[in-house]
Amino acid sequence: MYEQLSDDELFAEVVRRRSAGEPVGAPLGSLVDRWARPARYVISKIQASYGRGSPADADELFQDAVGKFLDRGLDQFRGVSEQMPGRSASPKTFFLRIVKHVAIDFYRRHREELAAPPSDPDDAMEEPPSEVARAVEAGKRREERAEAQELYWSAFARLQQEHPKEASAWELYHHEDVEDHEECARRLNISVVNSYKRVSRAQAYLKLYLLDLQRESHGEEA
Amino acid sequence: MIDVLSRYSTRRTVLTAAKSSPGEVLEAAGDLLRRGSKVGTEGVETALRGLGRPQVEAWLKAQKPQALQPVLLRAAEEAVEVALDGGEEAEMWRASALEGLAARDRAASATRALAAWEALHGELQGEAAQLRDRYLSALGTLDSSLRPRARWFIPLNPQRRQERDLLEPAEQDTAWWFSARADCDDLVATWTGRPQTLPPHLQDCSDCRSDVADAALVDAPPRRHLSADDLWRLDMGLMTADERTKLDAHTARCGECAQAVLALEEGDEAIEEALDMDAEEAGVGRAARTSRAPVAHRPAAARHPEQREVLEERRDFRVVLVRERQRVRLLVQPLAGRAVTAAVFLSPGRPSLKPSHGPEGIAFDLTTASSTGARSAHLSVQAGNETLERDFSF
Repeated sequence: MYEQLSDDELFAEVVRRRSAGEPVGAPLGSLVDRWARPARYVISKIQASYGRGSPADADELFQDAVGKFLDRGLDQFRGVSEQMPGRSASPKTFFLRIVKHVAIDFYRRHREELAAPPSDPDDAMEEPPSEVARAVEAGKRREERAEAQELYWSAFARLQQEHPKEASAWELYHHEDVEDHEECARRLNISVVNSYKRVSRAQAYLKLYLLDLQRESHGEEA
Repeated sequence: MIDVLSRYSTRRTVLTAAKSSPGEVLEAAGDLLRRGSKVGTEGVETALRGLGRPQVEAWLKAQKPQALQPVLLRAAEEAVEVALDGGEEAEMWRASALEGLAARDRAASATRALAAWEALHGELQGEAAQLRDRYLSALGTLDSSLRPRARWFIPLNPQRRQERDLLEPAEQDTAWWFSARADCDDLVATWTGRPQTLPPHLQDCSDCRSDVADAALVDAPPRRHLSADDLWRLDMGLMTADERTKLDAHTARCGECAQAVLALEEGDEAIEEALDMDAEEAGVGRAARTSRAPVAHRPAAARHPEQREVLEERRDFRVVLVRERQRVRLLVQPLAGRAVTAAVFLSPGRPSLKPSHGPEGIAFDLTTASSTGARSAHLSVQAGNETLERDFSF
């Protein structure tokens, strides 16, 4: 029923229905069906870039991208096209951009998991028990590391709130890999002695905040 | 130690002073009871017998133990400053932090004296008993929450040990503000560095070993990687020059994020190829119903040949420097529908460059100026009451 409409007309219909609170499934489905082939092509290229992926991933990523296009992309597209029409391109190109980002995000997040042995129980049964145990242990370590890093960033957020000068010095010295007090001092317009002092103070407070957060986190789990 | 001892001995005068309030009498009585072996308890019983039930009940009603929490948290920060400051102010931090601990200790003394008072006068009843229970419960909650943070008070350990050692043995463990981690002085050195060899205490003390291990991540902090939002903003040309500089510095060292940025570019090429394939297949006849964008609007044009640097972002407008392969433009983009005027001066006293008005806002072409060696200009923008005057380089 939408065959006679151009992409732009069909997209306008989706936007209109959404604004009116009407169902958008049919026109949106028809629209993204038209874009499915180029979307899968883009996904395949991202898969190639990461040297991973399967057709099953491609289906999942396409569906994710459609969901994001519907959730945030329609508004984002409107905002971008109003402010920077030269960069927004067509709805189709914008959708393909979302596809690209969904795919990159997926393969970034799953880099470690994909590198590890399969976690599917059926596949795992084919692995020697020692490999399975190693995979389980590696998974546990990854989870612990992720949790520890999350707490670290929470501790850093607290440092930024309570000791912003120390946090800026720490950010520059460690997170931005400057690792040179003369350069830190130059960039922050402070003395070298002050750079040493701020980084040192940041380290102490970060440790104390981190230890407090760990205790709170374990307290919540208990 | 003598100073501390004499300080508590002089507390005895509070017991008999006419101007002492019931709370002050309870605190002084408790101070002596909890240190009976060292300072004696003479005069305590008489003083407690002299406190009437209405006085004690009124005191209980006025208690706000939750107010001790911010006092102790501030004392914790001040205690850490004793270690980190190291200058003349260290003694000021120490005195203030110790006053915070003393506030908690006075509440413990009042509690101890209240129990002794009940032993002499009989237990509180009814509403007064409920007030007492709530008071004790609130102190218990406070201690459960703050005792695990006792490490913050380690820089006060010399004074805390003196206070701990004056207390009756049965009181010492309860008084965590004086006793918890009171022998862990060596831990402080690990807050600002990683000792080559661990002192014996750090090897033997399980609390310190845990602290050192659990805080090790700070000694080798994780990198801040590009988030999905960072990549999106990069892709859309929304990053500021400062953000781009940080991003470039990070990707120069981080293979994972560099790969993500590379994937963005490969994705752009893929989008272009996909659009080309669609267009070829559809042919000119179907051009009207395809979404194929004009060449200038395609993704590669968004990021590769064209680089955008947001020079200024205000509520009503944004200033963007656009570099293409052989062109440089300055865009002043109105936001929120407000009328904006702008002028660009290459040198003082000369007229503004001629602006052009397009869908992206007011544009100033700097290409000719750039080709003649000009590298900077002055920008003036007016939007309602807001004005911007600044120099910029291109």
